[in-house]
Amino acid sequence: MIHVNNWKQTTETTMQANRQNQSNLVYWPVLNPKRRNVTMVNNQDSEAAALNWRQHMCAVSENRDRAAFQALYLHFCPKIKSFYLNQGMTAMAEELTHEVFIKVWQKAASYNPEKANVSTWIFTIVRNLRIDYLRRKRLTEVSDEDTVEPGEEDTLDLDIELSRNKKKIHQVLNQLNEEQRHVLQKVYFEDKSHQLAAAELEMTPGVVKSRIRSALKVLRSQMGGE
Amino acid sequence: MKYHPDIEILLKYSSGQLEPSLAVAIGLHQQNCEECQQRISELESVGGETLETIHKVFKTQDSNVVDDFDKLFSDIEALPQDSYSGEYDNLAIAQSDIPLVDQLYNRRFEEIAWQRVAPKIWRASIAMNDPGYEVELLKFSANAKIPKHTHKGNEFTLVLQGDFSDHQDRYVEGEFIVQDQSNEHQPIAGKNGCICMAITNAPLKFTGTFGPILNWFNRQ
Repeated sequence: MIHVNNWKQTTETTMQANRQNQSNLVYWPVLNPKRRNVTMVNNQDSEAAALNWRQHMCAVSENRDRAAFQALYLHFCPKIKSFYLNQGMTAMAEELTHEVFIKVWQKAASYNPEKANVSTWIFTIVRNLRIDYLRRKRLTEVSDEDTVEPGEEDTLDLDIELSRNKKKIHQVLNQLNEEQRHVLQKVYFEDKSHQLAAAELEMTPGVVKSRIRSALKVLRSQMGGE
Repeated sequence: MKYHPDIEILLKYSSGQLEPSLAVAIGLHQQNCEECQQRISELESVGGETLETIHKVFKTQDSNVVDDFDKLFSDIEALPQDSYSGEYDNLAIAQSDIPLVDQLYNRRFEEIAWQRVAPKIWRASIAMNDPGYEVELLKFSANAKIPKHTHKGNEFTLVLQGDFSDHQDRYVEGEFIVQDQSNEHQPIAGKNGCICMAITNAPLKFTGTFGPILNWFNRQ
């Protein structure tokens, strides 16, 4: 059932891509020489890199391998700091990045290589520390309440069969074209205004909006909306 | 489960942009919904990709980075050796909201200071310090009729326990329902009663016979 649908989807997409090359409506990555510099990473390279980081992360969690941890640090630290800096958290970027790596070390055992790439797992830590920071800022603005540290003891075992799901992840996200992905990244994950995202992607804000709409539409249909 | 948060809410949630009140509701839904867990991890991988493709925006010497690492590692070595764990770490919510999520997820409803507002209806408001939304818990006895009401803005409902029905459908535990001002409805709690989390960006407006009284309560 799923296979039939996917096949149908692929055929349709290919057909649309052919048609839309002329009208310049993009449904599938269309190579635009001008925008080569923002072109996505080569799939094979990024797969190999992902595997590499996964091995590093497993070395950290299983053997508490300092060298592997340092390699992860050297690779991800500048990216994380830039991520925070880009979101205007100038004063906190350094401290939050430091905190991210403390968590990476502490939580290493909960990293499940079957479930996510290292970059995705680290992203969730980066994201949550940002949420905490913004929430803390609000709370101190509104009242002087102290935040309560929860004392959780048990490790949650996340050992579920997920390699099948991983395949699906790639399929779903691959349904988005390059522009749609970039727009989602900028507007949601990098928290940029439509204007700023538009400027960086060399589009008009109107195009940014319509790319978001079309991306949501694709995701809705792919992930099974309501 | 039939009623799930829309992909746009999940996108805001996964990227850490969702308002705290809604994030708590989505986090609770996520705990109970494998389908949304799946969707959320898909969206999070866009976050991972964002991180991976980001360009460095500051200048630094490589030697500084190594020094920073040494400092980091000495901080780590100074930490207690206990194994770290956090049950709700996978949720995109603030640490400070975890006690609330834990209480609701484990259904410790007896701890809540319920306030009776009408026969068979209790409520308790939750202080979230979320400027955008008001959060309250509503508790209905078995088969309680919830007075007819409309919503000025959007109302997000998460069914925490039991179920309720309206003219459109029956809503069960874990479901996340969105209603806007165009939905005037008169829900009825199921045979085991119902506890919901209701998130509104404007107060409910009751329209039935008890309307004026309930609206007065609502302003309290």
